[in-house]
Amino acid sequence: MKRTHILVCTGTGCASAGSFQTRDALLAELAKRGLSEELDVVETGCMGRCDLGPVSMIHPDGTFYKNVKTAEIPQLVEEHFLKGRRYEKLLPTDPETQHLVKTQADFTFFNRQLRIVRDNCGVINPEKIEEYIARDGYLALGKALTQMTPEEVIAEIEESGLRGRGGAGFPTGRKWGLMRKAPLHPKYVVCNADEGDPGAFMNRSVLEGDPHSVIEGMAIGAYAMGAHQGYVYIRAEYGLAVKRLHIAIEQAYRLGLLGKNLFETGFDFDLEVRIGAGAFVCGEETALMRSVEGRRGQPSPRPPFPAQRGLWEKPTNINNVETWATIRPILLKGAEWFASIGTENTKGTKVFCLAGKINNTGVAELPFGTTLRQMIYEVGGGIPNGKKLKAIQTGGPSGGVIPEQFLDTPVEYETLQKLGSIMGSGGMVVVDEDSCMVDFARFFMEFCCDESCGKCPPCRVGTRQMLLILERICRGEGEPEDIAKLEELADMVKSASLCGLGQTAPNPVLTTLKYFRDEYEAHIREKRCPACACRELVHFEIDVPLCKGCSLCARACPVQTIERLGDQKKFIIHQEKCIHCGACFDVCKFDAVKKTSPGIPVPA
Amino acid sequence: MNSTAPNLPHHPSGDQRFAQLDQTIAHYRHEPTALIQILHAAQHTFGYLAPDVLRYIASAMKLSPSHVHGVTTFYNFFSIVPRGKYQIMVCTGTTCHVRGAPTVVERLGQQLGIKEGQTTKDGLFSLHTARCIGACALAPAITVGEDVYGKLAPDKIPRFCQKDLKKYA
Repeated sequence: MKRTHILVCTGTGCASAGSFQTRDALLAELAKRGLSEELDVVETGCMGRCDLGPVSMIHPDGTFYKNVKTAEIPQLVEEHFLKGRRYEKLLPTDPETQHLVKTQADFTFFNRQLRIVRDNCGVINPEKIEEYIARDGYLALGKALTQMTPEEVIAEIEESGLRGRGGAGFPTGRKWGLMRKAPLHPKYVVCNADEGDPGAFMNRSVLEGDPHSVIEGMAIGAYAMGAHQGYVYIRAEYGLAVKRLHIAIEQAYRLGLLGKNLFETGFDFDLEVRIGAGAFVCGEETALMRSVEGRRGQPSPRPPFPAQRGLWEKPTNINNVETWATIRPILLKGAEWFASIGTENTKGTKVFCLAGKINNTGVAELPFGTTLRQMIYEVGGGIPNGKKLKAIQTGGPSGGVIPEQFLDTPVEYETLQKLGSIMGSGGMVVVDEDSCMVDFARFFMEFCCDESCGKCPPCRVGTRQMLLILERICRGEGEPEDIAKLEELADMVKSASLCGLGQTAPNPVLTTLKYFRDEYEAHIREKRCPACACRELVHFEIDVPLCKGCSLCARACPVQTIERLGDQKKFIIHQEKCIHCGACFDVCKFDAVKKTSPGIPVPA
Repeated sequence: MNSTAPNLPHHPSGDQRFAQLDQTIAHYRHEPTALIQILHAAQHTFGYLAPDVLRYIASAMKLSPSHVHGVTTFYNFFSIVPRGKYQIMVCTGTTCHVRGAPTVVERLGQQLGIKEGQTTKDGLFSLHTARCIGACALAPAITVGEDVYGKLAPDKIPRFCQKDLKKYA
């Protein structure tokens, strides 16, 4: 037995900050000081605070350390493990209270969470099936196979009120029931891990931190629905998640938890990984199935639904990573327990990704019904640099923006829909006053236009036309009738497109038009960008009295248009050559470079 | 598994990489449904998917060349033109966008002397953008080959090019 375990996060975020080097340095330092017998270093999946990486937690005292770089290791080991006191230099500060945070339990980011799906993430080594089993892993599968009929499993899921976590929120139990009744065989189960929404990385964090929970959920689902073959369709961008999934599947086969005759019940289940190749539309279920089949990922009209005719024209059930990972806790703790969490309409918890202009960036699991304000200000720790919150973007390119006045909205599928946005996969990108809403709408339209598969004209042509108008407005060439044109096109694309991508593509434009119409009008009528973000409409100037003559700006300027003012030690920008790139603004240490968007006066 | 290998058409050039490709195709038992997985492996081996490679895959898997070409060009991940030894991918997802990704692309291009989609003269780097690499907590994020670099605000780009990119030379 070891007296203490040092948990080192090795999710993608922390790994890029050097957590594998941290682990090696820790092991070396412990060996050097003769502590290897007592202390153990455990690589875990994502702990959720990727921006503080590499992060580490000490078990059992719960101390949470941030930025554990290799250079700090000798000091850290000396202070914490030899002298027995916390190494304060690496303790995080709570943005709310400005106090040093001693343990994970004291950190508002963590203690407001309710972890059901991510219970194991950041706690176990995802590459060791033994650690998963020690936390009741595969117990739910054993229970389902040996003590429950498939119908009982489906009834339990239905009773729990679980709804699909991929975005649409369809009741999972009902979906499984339909699939069970489908007459054709064989049947397939699929895990949709093609997390394409920009701003969403919860699936990645679950697959990197606890891949077995997804495998177990799929095996239970397969048993309930009568399938014997499953596929995990995962994006190629998620290298570490792919690797850990492969390891997990191999380990499960080795212990007889996948393959033939599971738990000696005669039930067979095989699972394969299919790697996507970078097409956003493949998150749409009919397109995803074509891609699993090795074809172009183009969607097809529904019905027939996948439960009727899916992969190779056979009944297929597709659920999201998070949905599959929720199956196990429901079977272990019961439907009643699960249904006691959340709201009237939506039960349980949801893993949200907080990103953008927010202090605590990362992955947080919260019960449905948590308000946006709690999410942003309590869990998220507010907006950095004293800036003002402008909006929250939810649901990726299919979602919309929610302005500040709706911060007290409890988050669930229906409430967000009422505001014109969607839940989507749960990505929350916080936008502050520095972002231009017209540019934001343009950004999403460019995304959808690029990712449109081209099969149906409303989406292929409609998104392109909308993008051209938005680009024009951002350049200051918008015309008064553009807003009406956008609305008309949005209506057409929404109602006539074949699949979800096109049907939801206009959402970002429609919500920004609804809540930030004044910004569109400022661009069109006054040729002014209120957020000073649209390049063609901003103007840079050096405030000569403030200029200290350090020449940083002149050196940063890519077009050499910043020169000395006469023979003085000061600089000015020659406007005719300026490309408005903002390099001078970024480097100036004295706030002497001013960014404005003066616009032109509106003719009376 | 090797028993199927002799049936494969060997590439006349004698390039050993085709033998490697044969093995991958055999591993997937010539299943047409594994085409995307095989294209991944081929791109990993050859760096990009030249017409010759695509024709070879088509004939080995008994698929029409137009089908293989159609699948290849549908997906962003596959390239039919040569790319740099290391691909620099700038994430342009929402979070990276609000934190300055467009400027990151521009400044990287200026430093490397190339535009998006182009390769440096020495063939070392090519510059691309990605939709979202799911590293939103590290925004703005970029990847070089398999390595992820986070929090690369536009003003850090010159230093990044002078220091970090030198490691790949």
